[in-house]
Amino acid sequence: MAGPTIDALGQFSLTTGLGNLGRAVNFTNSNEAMLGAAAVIVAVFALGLKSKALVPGRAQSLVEMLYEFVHNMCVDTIGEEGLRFFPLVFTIFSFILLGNLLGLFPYFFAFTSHIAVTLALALFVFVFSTGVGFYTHGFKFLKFFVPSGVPTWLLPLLVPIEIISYLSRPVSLSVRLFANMTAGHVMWEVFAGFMLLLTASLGVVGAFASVVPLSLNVALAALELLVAGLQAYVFAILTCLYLHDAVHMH
Amino acid sequence: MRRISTALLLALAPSAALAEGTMPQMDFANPLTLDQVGWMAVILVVLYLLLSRWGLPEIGKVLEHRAGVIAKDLAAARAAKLEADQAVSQLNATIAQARSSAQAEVAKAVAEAKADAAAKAAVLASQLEAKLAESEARIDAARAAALAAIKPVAAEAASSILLKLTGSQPAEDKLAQRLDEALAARKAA
Amino acid sequence: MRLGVEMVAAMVIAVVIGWGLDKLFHTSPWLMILMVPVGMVAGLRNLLRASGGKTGG
Repeated sequence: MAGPTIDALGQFSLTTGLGNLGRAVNFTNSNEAMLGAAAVIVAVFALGLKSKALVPGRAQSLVEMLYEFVHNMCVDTIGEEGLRFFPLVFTIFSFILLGNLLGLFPYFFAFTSHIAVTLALALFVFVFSTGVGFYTHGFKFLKFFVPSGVPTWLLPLLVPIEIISYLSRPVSLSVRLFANMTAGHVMWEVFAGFMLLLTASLGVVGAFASVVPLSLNVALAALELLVAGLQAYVFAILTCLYLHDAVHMH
Repeated sequence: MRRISTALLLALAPSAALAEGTMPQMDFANPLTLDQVGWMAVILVVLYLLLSRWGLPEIGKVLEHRAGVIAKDLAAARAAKLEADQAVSQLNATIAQARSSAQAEVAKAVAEAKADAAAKAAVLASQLEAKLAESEARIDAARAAALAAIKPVAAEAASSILLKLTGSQPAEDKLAQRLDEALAARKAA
Repeated sequence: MRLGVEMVAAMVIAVVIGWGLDKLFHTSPWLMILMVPVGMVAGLRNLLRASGGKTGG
């Protein structure tokens, strides 16, 4: 069949951004989106902090809401000690949230749909929380892998299980975000490509029939908006949870 | 969540088929796949420094300031309320005091009036008693006088009756004795 | 969705560890095979944690 084909994955291919300079230093189009996300975050902060009013305006309310949301998440999940990690959790949360949300816009690269990106973030969280564990408890942190209250003869079996369970954290953390974002974007592309296919192959009838995938895409847009927020939240709360384990060892 | 997983199943079918080689996310031969991570690290470090040194502390300060203002206002309101409560309780105490003193006054007045009335009644009663006694004495005297007066009349009548019936004069002392007996009997009856 | 990822992640890690140990000790493929049930149990452990809402340990 001649005409358009569905290229659901082309949207994820990397190119270099920022013109010749970007090409020289391998600054990619996903990095452009990251820069955009970071810029939006900083801009929102700058807007929110412009008046510093006692009764906040719209932008200030938004920033304060985000602040208190992540603040409460840190305190509730990690405890009072969690405030040490608050800026880190906030950075990760806002970066992923903005990445997910900006990725929903046409022509914006969804960098959270790249496994290399999510895996790097998850590995950082994993290494960091493990480091915090060893920093807080020294080598006693290894006891984390020895479940309490089980007979000794079971330990040689249970300790490897605990270690594998622990090591699988960055994998599940990164794959969850990557899969959710990729799936949504692929679905969108597939339905949109389907509309083109219908129109090209069936003419006017096809153009009318393509209302179906169009409405599906509209519904999907709402769902993706939800997923974008939810996955950023899940990533952040799991980061807090791992830090909680590192600080409290239980 | 279920809807998400259905969507995933739908979506992963084509992407899994294409995962071999053509999925750009899995194309680790492309240097850009890993280079983007390096640049992400740079961007994240800058973002972290900006947020942790400037953005978040500033917001924290704003929130703290607001909490402080609210706490101060609340304390002021609490103090005002305390003051009002004190004033109210003072007022209540004054009212209670006034009421009790008024009640005492009323009770005193009532007692005085009662005593006065009782004294007057006693005086009146004694007066009446005296009058009664006087009257009784007068009645007694009158009765005695009447009794005394009745004796010679009765003696005369009896002697004249006896004279007509018998034709003889009865003995003076015997008649007096009989009369006394009869009068005594009448009195007793 | 979340639970499936937990399960698969543990399996992947277990198999990778088994494969690495096989390479180290030239015992291919026995350690990898041995690690499969271990990975499955670890995956179940992850599931339990994730659904229990707590990380326990």
